Amino acid sequence: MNTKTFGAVLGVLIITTACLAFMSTMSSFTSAANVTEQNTSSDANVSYYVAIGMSTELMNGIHFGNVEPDSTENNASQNFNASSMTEYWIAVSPDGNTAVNISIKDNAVLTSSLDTIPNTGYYYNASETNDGDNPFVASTAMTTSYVQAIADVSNGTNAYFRFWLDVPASTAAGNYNNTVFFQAIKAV
Amino acid sequence: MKILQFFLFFFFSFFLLGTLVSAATVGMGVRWYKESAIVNEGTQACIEYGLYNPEPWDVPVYGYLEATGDLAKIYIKTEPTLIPVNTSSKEAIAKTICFDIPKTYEENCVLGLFCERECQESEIAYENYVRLRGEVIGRYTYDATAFGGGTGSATGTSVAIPLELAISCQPQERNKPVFYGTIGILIIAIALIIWLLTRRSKKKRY
Repeated sequence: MNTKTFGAVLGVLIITTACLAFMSTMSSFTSAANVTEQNTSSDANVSYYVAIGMSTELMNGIHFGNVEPDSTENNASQNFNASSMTEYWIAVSPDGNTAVNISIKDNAVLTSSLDTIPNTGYYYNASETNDGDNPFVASTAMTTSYVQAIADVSNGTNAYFRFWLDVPASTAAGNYNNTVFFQAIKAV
Repeated sequence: MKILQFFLFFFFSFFLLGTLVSAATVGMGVRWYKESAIVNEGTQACIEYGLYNPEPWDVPVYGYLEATGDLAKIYIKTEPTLIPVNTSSKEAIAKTICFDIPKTYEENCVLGLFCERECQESEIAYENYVRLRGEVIGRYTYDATAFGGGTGSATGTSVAIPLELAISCQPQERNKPVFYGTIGILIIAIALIIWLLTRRSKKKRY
């Protein structure tokens, strides 16, 4: 192949490539159909809003104070006030537009350095009524995953809680702590 | 007499302050406008929420949003925002949570650069979009005194909102001008090399 022939082939290749590029650019152009149409926008915004808060005593924490080893159903300090009512509640704000389900969990078992008190002995109960009998007996053990404690709590009302703790016989001396979380989710 | 008034004023002031502090209550609300969204893969999708702190709660809180489930790995953490007391739901403070939407659908690539995607018929249908499900959690912190002594638990609250992100399949063509241009440049480069080599070998022969 002499130089002239090669140059010619090269020229053809360049022109071909340029043509392909141009064609592909052109292919992206489309012609609009000549259609006459009238339209208007339409929209609707639906929103929900929910707020929950803690009673003063719940905000201050769930305290069991000094508890003895090998004891059961120790009441949290504010389970019963002078009127036999609990001071622990979650308030569902009136500034909301849906009822909620309230779930509860703790972040870990009650822990003091290397020692623990198992969740199987950390009980709670919830009710929409607050009196000497409600929330009633220690019925549900705490877990580290959310479990629904009470359903369909209307906005502007409270969910009342009581807490109890069993302390096993072998429990070492110490201050045992963890964190309990309450979560609201829109009731279906 | 004035000294007595002075002491009485201070006594009642401290008493009132003490009553208010001991009766403090805390909480936060979340307003939401959607529970699902169609998003494009490889993009950042953001959803807006509103945080509020209505009466009678009297503690300013720092609100923030987190995500759980499939959304936990792709949400972008943000700094908490101050939500003052007496912020009603109507005055909710906007708070956005963003998600890095991962590449989900297959692409055919040449040289790892020039990619195209042909969405299958089944992938174009909305009901077949890949979905990420989880909850957006409205949480808060506040300036609290440490948990007192003895055995027991500190406490906190949150509001959970379900959220489903449907990732749409976007057909994507190769960038043809760039693709053919690159091939052209490659051909020219190869041709030039061959030409130079041919010329050099010819010179050597003579």
